[in-house]
Amino acid sequence: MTGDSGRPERSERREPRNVAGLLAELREQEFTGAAFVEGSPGGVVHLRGGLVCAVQTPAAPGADVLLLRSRRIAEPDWSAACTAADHGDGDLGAALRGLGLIGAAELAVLTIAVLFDAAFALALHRPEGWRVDDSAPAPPLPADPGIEPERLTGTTGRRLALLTELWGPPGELARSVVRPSSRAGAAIARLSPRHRDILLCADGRRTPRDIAFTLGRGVFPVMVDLARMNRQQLLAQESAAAPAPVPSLAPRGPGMAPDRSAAAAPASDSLPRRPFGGPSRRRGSAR
Amino acid sequence: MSQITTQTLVDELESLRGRVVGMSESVISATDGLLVASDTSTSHPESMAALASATLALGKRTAAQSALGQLAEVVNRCNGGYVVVLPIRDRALLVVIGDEGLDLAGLRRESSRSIETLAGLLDVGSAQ
Repeated sequence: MTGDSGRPERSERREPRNVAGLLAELREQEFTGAAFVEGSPGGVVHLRGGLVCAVQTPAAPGADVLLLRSRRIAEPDWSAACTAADHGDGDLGAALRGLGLIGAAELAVLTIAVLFDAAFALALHRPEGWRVDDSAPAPPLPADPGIEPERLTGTTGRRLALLTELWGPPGELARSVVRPSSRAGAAIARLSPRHRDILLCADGRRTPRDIAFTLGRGVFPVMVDLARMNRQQLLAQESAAAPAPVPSLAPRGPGMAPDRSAAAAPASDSLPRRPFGGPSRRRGSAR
Repeated sequence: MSQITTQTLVDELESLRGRVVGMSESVISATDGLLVASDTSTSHPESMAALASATLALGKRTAAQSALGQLAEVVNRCNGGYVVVLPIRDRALLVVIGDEGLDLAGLRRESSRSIETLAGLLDVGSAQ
């Protein structure tokens, strides 16, 4: 920071530092616009007058996913609201309320929950940098009033600490693929519907984030449920595969296959080594 | 195509899925719609291959008609997710199926590496 006063220039690129510090700075400046956080997958923090009004990231489901996947709002109704908003002043929340699809209080609670969940999901991945843009378009369903950045980062920190205590390092867990343990099958009838739904989604391909999208729930609540299920030994957890080395184009003999051949041995119950194994996955691929 | 080469194709598809947030499944098809390999769970690979080849052919013709240069990708954006079709050189294509949170920017970054790898493997496969 060079000590210049006033608002950041449009699309100014900053050196990596922590996002909490960036938000504190933008709060002081009563900034309106967006902070694009770069990373895998990164995300966007929208601010209005320095308060956070929305957070969007591929790492967490947005309000549309929560409403549609849970069938709280039917698809044709959602599309009608989007069209109405597009033809009007762009206020999707007003269109949803105007069509009687959702009440003001429920929508307010939802937009705040989604905001906190996305901030949590963003915090699971290390940012690679960011840029700030005061001309970015407003998000479709902003929280109004916005949230104090300090409150957001504080809550996010507590959520990360809780998961660490319940389960382990949240960033690692977020990238892990989960599948049911062998004892989960016997226990499934006794589980709550919520835990049962999660187990049914845990197909060995989905991370906690993927399960959250499938169920139309937040990433943090799903991870808390998974942590509890793990304590009950209902999960066999696998780490995300490291990216496969680019295969050589030389002809392959039986002894030249990559490391994964070692992982094809029968898995022990608790820690199968091959992340994406299983006969059902091979359907259609053998020619 | 030999079994080992098919497994290597699937390995690459799995690797791509691990690198792209929101990617659920993928299929490799020849441009005539013939299924080559897949990493799927709920989608029907043969149907996806056939539809994607038609999508790509139509996309290429549209690009040519519009004189906008070579087709880069076709993105089908749905309320519940995405189906993205990417050419693999002239003879094959890659279909990527993702959920609502598919990281499209990440897909574009990561898929070019995978497509190069797959192109090399497919060339190797058909020369045997």
